Amino acid sequence: MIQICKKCNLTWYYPVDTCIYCRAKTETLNPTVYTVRGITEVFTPSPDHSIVPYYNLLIEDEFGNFYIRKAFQNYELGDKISEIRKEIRIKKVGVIGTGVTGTGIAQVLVQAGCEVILKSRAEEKLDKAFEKIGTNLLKTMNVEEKDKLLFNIKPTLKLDDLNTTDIVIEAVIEDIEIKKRLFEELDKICPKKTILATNTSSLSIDEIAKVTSNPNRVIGMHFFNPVPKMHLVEIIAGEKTSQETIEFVRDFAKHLLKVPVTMKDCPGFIVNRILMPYLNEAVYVLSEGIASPCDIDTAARLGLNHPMGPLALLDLIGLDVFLSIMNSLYRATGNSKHLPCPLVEKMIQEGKIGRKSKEGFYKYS
Amino acid sequence: MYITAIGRTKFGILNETLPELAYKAMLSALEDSNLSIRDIDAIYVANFCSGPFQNQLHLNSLISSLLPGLMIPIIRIETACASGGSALYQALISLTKFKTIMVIGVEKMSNVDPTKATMNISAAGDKMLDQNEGLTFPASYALIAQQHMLKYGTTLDDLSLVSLKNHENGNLNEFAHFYHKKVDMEMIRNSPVICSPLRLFDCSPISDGAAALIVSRERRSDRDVKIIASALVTDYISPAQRRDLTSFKAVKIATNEAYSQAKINAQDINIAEVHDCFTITELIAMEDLGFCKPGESKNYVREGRTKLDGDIPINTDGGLKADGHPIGASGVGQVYEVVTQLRNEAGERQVKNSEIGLTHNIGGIGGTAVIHIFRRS
Repeated sequence: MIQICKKCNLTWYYPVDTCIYCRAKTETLNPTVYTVRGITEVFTPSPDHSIVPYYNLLIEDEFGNFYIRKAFQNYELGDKISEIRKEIRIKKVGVIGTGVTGTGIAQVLVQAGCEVILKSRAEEKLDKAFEKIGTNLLKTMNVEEKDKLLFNIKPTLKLDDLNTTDIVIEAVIEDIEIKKRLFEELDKICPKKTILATNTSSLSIDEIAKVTSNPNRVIGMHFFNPVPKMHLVEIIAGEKTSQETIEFVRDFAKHLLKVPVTMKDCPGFIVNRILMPYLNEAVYVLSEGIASPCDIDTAARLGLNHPMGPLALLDLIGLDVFLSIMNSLYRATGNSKHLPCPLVEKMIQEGKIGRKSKEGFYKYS
Repeated sequence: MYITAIGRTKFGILNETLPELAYKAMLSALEDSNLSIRDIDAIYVANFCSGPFQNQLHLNSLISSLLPGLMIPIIRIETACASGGSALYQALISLTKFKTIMVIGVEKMSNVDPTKATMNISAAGDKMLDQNEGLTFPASYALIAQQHMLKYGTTLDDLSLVSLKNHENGNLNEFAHFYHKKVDMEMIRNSPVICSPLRLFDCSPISDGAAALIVSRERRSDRDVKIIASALVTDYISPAQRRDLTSFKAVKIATNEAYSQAKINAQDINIAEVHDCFTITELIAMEDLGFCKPGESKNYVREGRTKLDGDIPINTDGGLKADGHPIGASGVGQVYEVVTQLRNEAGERQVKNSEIGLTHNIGGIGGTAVIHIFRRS
């Protein structure tokens, strides 16, 4: 944003509204055409710009003001660019799904200053999501501030209402057919520049992207529960995902104060790929009668410095969810290390699914 | 106003911690004079980035902890890479209040992951205009080099000559980061591209190190060097905000002011320490300081006029390129070299008949410019 004082012929690159010399109100300059005046290809990565090489452009607007812009595409000196990327700060985000994750994502977004359009299948689910977010917000702010933030979440039951968003994050049930249908529709509804992100934890980004006309804007953005507390976001680049989309989503995740990690599309991504065989092995240790659940968890907590042991974690995740992830890993890799320990299926048959059934490896009241 | 004593550590990848480096430099400066630490009335500490690099701020109190019981006024000065020059500038102003002031420049940078270091250093650029766009300092100076090449026909080989000359000088300076490194044109030409067109050998290194000066209101000995000009000017922080990247306006204004304070002109300068954070910066400095006309610096380096035996030797200690660039200490290190030369104590790299020397210390891409001029007393 450029502010100018016509009287003093001065320019600010900051949102100042009054000229400090003559005290007149400044005006906002609205350039439209930019000419490339300088280019350097940068090979030195830094934490916020870890993907190299990239280009730094020195561009000049029609009024003679210069700007620095990052790009992944090379330009020639003298090239005219009609539009430059605006600030990273994203205004409008669509969230689809009002489960635990979708609700958590909506909360984090609104706390980061985004305007959220929260789409659900049912009115009562939206009410529940608002109630949950409200309760969470009240832990750190007063009622007035909470209401102000909640005002920035627009509830809707219509997918069409996402047609003005900068990015859509889908967090519906892990069902490839449902997600594909959704992305097919989003592809038609959303503007060409809108990034379409899926919060899948196990499905293939490429397969979801296939149904869209523009797969280079489709990306995986895997948040972890509880979203407001967990810092990690796995960013999964499909085969066709563009470098711009990856960078944009990385920066966006950082804007949400999350820590992004970028990876190729693969079964289980990074965390589940490592975690699931580990949890499975813990069940084997139990089923072979080597140690009690309590001792297995204590060993893992104190020996690995994990905050929670594997069996307690399995109870939290739910054995049914674990089983379905293991099965999908096995289907994708065909590797016997991804075969679930038989004890898991046995426990599920006995109704011991974990916390949600009040009993898993431990009893809950 | 006089520089009474100078001291420094080696610059380079060092084992010492930040306080150890500062302590060694202070001790070294005291040993260069017959002064006691109790003669020091106040201290200015120049440091750029101990915050992000060491999570160590409140440096004035840290320095106080190195001087048990002294409890004198100490203040930290930060103006990015110009911190050293700025601390001296501030000390000289304060000589109206104090009789004897110590200036310390110190930086500890080598123990941080290089990608993190790149980010930390980019803090000297505008957060929104530069940093968010990934504009690191090598990238900034790459754009500047490109503009200079486009406007004046400066070539990559001209930049290499600057690097080569500074490495040759560094080989004669036992304190230099690259004292032992032998460099030739082929090595420079074949070094990897950092930010096109700049290659590794166009960039100064990340170094640890410290340097210290004792400045006095009155002359104390015949080894004192007189300060005949001190000027500091600031300018926009981002290259986006400039109209011309082939010259730094703040440097030109500070230089003019310094020449008029000293009642001399550019031709009177015998030696100069200029801020060669990148090779292109040395060429621009030569032009901004008036040693040559805009665009003519390339001819000077081609003719070898800035070498030790040239008519205007530049960066006789190896400059930031070869002596090293412990950011907060660099500006102080420049003064160390000029004083050493004017005292005729520079050994193998001594420039004959040096009467007047200049230091040119800049922050960022010339958002801060500090010029000092010294005369043998």
